[in-house]
This record gives sequence, C-alpha cells and structure tokens, in this order.
Amino acid sequence: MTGADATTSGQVERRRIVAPKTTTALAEIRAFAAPLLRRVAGASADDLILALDESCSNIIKHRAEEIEGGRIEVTIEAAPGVITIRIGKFCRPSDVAQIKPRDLPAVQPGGLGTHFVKHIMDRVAYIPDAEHPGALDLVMEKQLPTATADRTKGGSKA
Amino acid sequence: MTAEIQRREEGDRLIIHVEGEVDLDVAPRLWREIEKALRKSSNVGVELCDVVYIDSSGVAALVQGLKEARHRHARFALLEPSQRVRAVLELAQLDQVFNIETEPSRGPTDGEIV
Repeated sequence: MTGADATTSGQVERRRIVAPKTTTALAEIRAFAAPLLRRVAGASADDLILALDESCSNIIKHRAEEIEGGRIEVTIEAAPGVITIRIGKFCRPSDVAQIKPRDLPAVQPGGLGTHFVKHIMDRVAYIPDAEHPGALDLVMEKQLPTATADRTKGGSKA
Repeated sequence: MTAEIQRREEGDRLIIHVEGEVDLDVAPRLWREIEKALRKSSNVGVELCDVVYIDSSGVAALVQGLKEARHRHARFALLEPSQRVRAVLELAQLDQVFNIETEPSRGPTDGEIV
C-alpha cells in the first residue's frame, strides 16, 4: 500500500512517498514526484525523474528484502537553489562497492542506470540511516539555477 | 500511465509501435516483442514517437534487440524516437550506435481517413 505526505517549512517543500517494492509502483512514484520537480527544476525535471526512477529500480533489482522491508521510501526536498532526493534504506555498506556505472562505449545493458544518476545529479552519497542501523540511505542533490530555484514557492513573486 | 505495444507490417518490415512509459515494468515485455519480431522478420523497426518516458531498462531492451539483430544479420532501426527517447539515448551515448530513422513511416493504409 502506498502512502504519501507533503509539508512546507519556511522555504523548504517536502514530499514523501512510501510505496511497495514492485515494478508497478515505479510509475506511481514518478507521477508523485513529477509535479514538484517540474515546478521547481524546470528543464532539469525530466532528468531528475529519471535519476529517481533509476534509483528505485536499483532497489527492486538488487537489494535484499531484509534491508528495506519490501518498501521504497522516497523523500524529495525542494529548497531555494537545491533539490534533494533521499531514498531510505537504499542498501547495506557492503553493497556500495557494487554500485558502479558501466563503461559507456560498451554496447551492453547493465550499469547504465547508475551512469544516468551520476551524470544527472551533482552529489550522490550513501549516508547511514539514523533509524535503521546497518542500512544506508541514498542522498542525491541537484543544484538549481537561481531563476529556476525562485519557483520553489510556487512562483509567488509579483 | 502504462505502455502499449503493438505490431504491424509495412512492406517487408515488421514495426513495433510503443506508446507511453517504458520502465522496469514494461521493458521485459518490449524485449519479448522485439525478440518475437526478429524471429519473424529480418527487418524490424521500433517506433518510439509516442514514448514519453524511457529508463535504462528500456534502453537495455533496445540494446538487446540491436545485438540480437546483429546476431541474426537482420536490420534493426529505431523509428522517430521522441525528444525524451533521444535525450536518454544521448545520455547513454548510444545515439550513434543505433540506426535511427526520423522520417515518419508510411504504411500502405496511412492517409486513409474515413
């Protein structure tokens, strides 16, 4: 079952969705993230949606059930000048070394999603999940141009 | 939004028309359709003008198709990829690898409006 919430604190908008770890949930996660990303990230929105989707797909394809409990937890924060996407309980510390982009000139599937994420995002980090020892959250950041970032508050400037 | 995949013949070419979003949920079905088409025809095109989203698994299905076509000495082309598909192929640095046809395909029944 999918659950979602939205909060605003000062200039920071926050959206959170918890979805089942299934391929059919991917479209739901994209549809959930798209309105905020399109509003605040403008031309970068499609790429950010791709990075989010690839990361969620990575969980479905590769992560052990005991880490994420069969769910995908996504939090998106839009602050002036920066978008942060956090995917909870993304992997274990021992998994990080295996998350590698592929050699692009090779015409073969595999590792392409990781390449997309690294290319699209300005920062990709694996951070210990405070509530779940032994699990790492995936935290991805994208800096936004100032003009785009001004839309974080819904373009309310006159 | 889900994806629809349909097949049609145009001359000696078998065309797979894809519409909607191609993600991890849809890509295996796309690959199965490509594989089936390559078994039936030595000239296969994947029409992507109505694809609004594609991820690495969708690209992987196309790459698999290209490899299978090479293995079978068959022709394999991407037809009219949408702007989004083109952007993702460029991101993957695969836009030069595929045979991409940008002209709209004209089947025998095209243009018949009743």
